[in-house]
Amino acid sequence: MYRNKTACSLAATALLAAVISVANCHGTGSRIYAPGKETVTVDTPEKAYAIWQQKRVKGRTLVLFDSYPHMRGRFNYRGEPQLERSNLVEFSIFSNVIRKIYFIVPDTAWEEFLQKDTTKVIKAIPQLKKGVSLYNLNGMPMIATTPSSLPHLSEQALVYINGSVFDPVEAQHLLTERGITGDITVIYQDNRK
Amino acid sequence: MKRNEIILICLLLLLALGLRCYDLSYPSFRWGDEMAHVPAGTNYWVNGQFEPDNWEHPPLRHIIMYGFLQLFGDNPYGWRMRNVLFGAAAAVLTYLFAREVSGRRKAGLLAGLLLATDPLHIVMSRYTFEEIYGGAFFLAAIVLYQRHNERSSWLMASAFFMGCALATKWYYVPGWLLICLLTLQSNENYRKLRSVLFVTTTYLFIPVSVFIGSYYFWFGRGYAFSEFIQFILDAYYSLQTYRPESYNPAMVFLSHGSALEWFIRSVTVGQGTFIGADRGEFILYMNSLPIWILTLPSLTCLAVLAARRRCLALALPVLLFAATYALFIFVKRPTFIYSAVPLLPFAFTAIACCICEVAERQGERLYHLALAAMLAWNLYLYPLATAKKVPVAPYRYLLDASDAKLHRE
Repeated sequence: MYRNKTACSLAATALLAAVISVANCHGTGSRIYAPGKETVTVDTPEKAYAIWQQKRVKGRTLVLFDSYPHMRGRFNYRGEPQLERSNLVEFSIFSNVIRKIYFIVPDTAWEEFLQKDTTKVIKAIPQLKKGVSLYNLNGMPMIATTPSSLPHLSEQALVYINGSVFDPVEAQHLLTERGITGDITVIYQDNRK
Repeated sequence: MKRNEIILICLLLLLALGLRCYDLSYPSFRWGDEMAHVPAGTNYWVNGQFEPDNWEHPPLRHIIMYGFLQLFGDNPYGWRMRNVLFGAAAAVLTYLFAREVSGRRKAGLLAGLLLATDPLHIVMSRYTFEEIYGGAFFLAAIVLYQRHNERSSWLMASAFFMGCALATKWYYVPGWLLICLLTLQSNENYRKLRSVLFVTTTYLFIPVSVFIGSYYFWFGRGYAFSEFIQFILDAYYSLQTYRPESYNPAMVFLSHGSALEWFIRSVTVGQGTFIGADRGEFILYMNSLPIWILTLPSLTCLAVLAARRRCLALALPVLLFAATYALFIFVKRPTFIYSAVPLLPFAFTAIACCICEVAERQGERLYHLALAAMLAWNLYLYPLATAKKVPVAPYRYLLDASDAKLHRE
């Protein structure tokens, strides 16, 4: 005959509630947002990281308007990775600046995007008309979607727009339409273009 | 427990430790998966990241790895002592499990010795494979369940260890649910509301709490609980997408990707080097076929015995083996020989129980003969699992038939 059944049941339930609550608070409490809002234009991708670092942002959602992106490779983990032109997103994940990505693919390129060898779909996201979870070697939650399916985000996001892939004005208009606010919006414009 | 039995358990532990510890610092560099597992321990503790290990697996492994690195330093002992200790503990736990199933010390001893000397268990206990300590947690949970005798604290301790197993790998989900159901079934607990609430909250909520708690450092990257649910679903679906071509082609396990062959044919993978004309050094992952092949017949016999005697305790190895093995057989992704390790305690218990049953009818000599023959076979294979320089001739037939990657120095 088990003893103290009610007390033990309550203790186990309380333990689960406490663990969920502590984990959730620990997570959401670790996010750091920039004070105010600003839009910055940079001429190399690395400078976006310098801006995020300067504002000390952490644990953030990135809305990424870029070509399928800096996520192909895996860190060859030998100590700290170095920031390079091609690994802004990976480096920002490693530094815990970014925790989640909404990767925007033009509606017209969606089918082609899904057929690419480099696109590894984990599963479709039922809430989004065009939206999939993408596999990547970091385990970063990464949602690929199109402008027409981009959902509203309740938290402020970091926004990165590659000007040679998306029109920055259209991208910002889309964000306003979806009610997505960004504390830091970085527009990358390659000077050579 | 009598003094003699405690001495027996200590000797078993020493044997298992000795076989796993001997020349542990060789190779002195990070070998195989250690190249991913060791840095991932620190990376998880410091950054909450899983790199360079797989992100789909639960992260208790990284926390324990980090603890051992702090304890022993960043050297071969720091990398490997975790598995050595848990691997040796698994031999003792197998003894206790089989002892409880059969009620015989001899069956416990035979099962414990088979695990202590099994070449696959030994080779995996000398590196950083998570099946060793995950399997030990799982076995600890089951032994505590067997012996809890309706003591609340023991069932809670069992649930805690089950949580540790689940926070190491997903293999243990069927076993976890099975134990939960068996606890409800015993003494008709399912008929009493307070007992149902106690068993379900204890055996579901405590393991889930441990599982979620192991992600504490991951949450530190800014994640909310709703994102955790999404992440776990992603991990589950991602694991289903694994195919043989998803792995590094140099991976030594790739030649055998089906769980169906583990207990019916020889599986030998790994790598080795021939040194000079007649010697070699090998690290092979293999099933000890003359023993493993007895698994399925023994489980069948044990199931028949359990049914005839209407004894659920006797059926426990069969049920646990079947629940866990079914997962490996029906899962869509490839399953490699190292995943067989969590099944071994149940397999060896079934074999030991059957040998004891037969020996009881045919004479005790049979038990001693089987014990000696099985131990001799496992110890003969020991050098092949532990990178000892050995003459090739006695092992030539094994090496020729193996799928190991063998090189000449």
